[in-house]
Amino acid sequence: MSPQRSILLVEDNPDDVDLTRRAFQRAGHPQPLEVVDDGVEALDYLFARGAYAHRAGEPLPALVLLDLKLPRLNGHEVLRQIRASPSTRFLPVVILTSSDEEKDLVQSYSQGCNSYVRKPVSYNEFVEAARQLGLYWLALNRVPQPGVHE
Amino acid sequence: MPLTDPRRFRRLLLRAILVPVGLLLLLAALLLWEVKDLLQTQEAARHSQVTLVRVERVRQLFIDRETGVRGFLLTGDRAFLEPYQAAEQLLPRALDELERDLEGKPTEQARMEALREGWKSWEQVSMQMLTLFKEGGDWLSLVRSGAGKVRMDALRATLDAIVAEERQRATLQGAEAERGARTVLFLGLLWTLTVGVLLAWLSRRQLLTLARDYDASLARVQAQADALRASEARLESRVAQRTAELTAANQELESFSYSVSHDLRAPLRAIDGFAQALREDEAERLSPSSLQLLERLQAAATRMGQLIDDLLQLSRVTRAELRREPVDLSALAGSVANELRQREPGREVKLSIQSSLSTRGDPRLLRVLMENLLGNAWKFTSKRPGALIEFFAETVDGVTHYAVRDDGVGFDMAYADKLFTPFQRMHKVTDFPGTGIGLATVQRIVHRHGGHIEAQATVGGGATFRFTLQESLA
Repeated sequence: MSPQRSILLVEDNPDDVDLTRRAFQRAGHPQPLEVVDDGVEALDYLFARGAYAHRAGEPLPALVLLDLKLPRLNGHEVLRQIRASPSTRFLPVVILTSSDEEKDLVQSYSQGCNSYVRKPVSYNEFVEAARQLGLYWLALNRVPQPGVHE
Repeated sequence: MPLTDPRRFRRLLLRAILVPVGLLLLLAALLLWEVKDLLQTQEAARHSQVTLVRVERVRQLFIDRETGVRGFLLTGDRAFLEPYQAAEQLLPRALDELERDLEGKPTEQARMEALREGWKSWEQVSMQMLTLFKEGGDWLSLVRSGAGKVRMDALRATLDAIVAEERQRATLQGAEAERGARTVLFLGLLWTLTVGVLLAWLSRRQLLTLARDYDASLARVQAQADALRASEARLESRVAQRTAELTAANQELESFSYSVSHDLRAPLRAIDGFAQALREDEAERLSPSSLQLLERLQAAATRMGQLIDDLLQLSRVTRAELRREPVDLSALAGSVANELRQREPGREVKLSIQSSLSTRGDPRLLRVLMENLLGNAWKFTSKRPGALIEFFAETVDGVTHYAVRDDGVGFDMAYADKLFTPFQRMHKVTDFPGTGIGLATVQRIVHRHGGHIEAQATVGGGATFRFTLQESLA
């Protein structure tokens, strides 16, 4: 395994950021948690543009935790652009949102999300969700190398 | 009054039939009367003919008497007396018959008297002659005196008078009958013409009225149709407007629900999360009662999260577009039951689900329905080890009733009418957790499927929820 690749959290609510950070720590995942707070920044980070130009050549995060309701560019649009680009199309993206609207689920899956998790109100449940997510996506699951074509 | 009035139309028809029939009947009666008159005249003529024949018979018999006497006197041959004697036998009857014929005619009666008298007188003369002849007397002088001839001539004259009278009467009657027939023919023609013209005029008038009424009705119907089309168009535009308003309201509601689901849950998560963080990070510095307060804070936040979720579901059930497709209720109940078992593997519950129960409806909503009903049964049997939960169907009056029955704590039927009201609970939260929205959601789902739901329960004796679904709807 290469050195610890990060987890990218796309979340605009600082409370949720703190809670997620704590939950992943509590769950015992060693990966660093990178946070961006809107859709545009998320894409800049992934494509090493703008404020994140310095990331050119850096490895992509191991997992993206994407909220749907975001300033400027919403989660659906971010996901669409991730799947549209050859460099990020295989990137594991887990939707992490408060919404359990059917249409959000359907749209997310039709845009190619890898998982859809509803943020529970209960913190203990949230910690459990974070533990299982990390376990599955960071340890168990395997993805092709970025940029590989069929 | 318009043609469309049925009473007036009936009257019109009645007149169109009754008036011509009545007029023709009158004409027929007139003709009948006249024919009877003609027949009477004919009968009178025939009678007159018979009378004339009788007169001639009497005349013949008189002649037979006269010629018989004369022949005998001239020849002395008794053979000449044969017609004389035969006529004597026949004459009284012939005279009687003639008299009968002339009954009721005073002049003729008088003539008959004269006839009888004259005959009697002639007989006396002829008897005298015959007596004289037999005795060898001077019968010839008596003949020459013309006494017999005078009497016979008088008899002939009387007969001629009767004949003349009879002929004149016949002629008169014939002329009268002819005049009557002519009058009837003329009147009949006039009558037929009048009736014809009258009927033609009446028919024309009625047809014109009908045509006018028809035109008026047509115009009215057209006006009504126009009005109907106009009001239809107005209605359509109103419906379109209302639909647009409703769609807007629905969209508003949807975006509201969306916001609620997103925005209200986030602070709750923060409350619960940071309370937990406090409990973990400051466990040693906080007193046990402070820790307990934090725990209660978290419980309240969790409960509010549940309330928001249940409210969202209730609103989703109301606004979601209803789909109609085949749904295997038995499989659905089985799947929900498995979830319940997985959630609390320690519970000892016997779940009995009738197989092959299928219906038509919205699979998502029916799942929510089963989750709530079986979830309730599961919850309210939690204090009974070896509880029994059943799902089955019964047919009552040809309608399928689905039922979820449990042997849990039940409830008091006195409060049954509040059962389906949101936030209405039958038990204390400390006994059985819940928001009181589940059964309201269940009822809305049943109503949206055109069915109804009712509950039966006793305190401590379990509860049964029976519901119908309008399955015939496509």
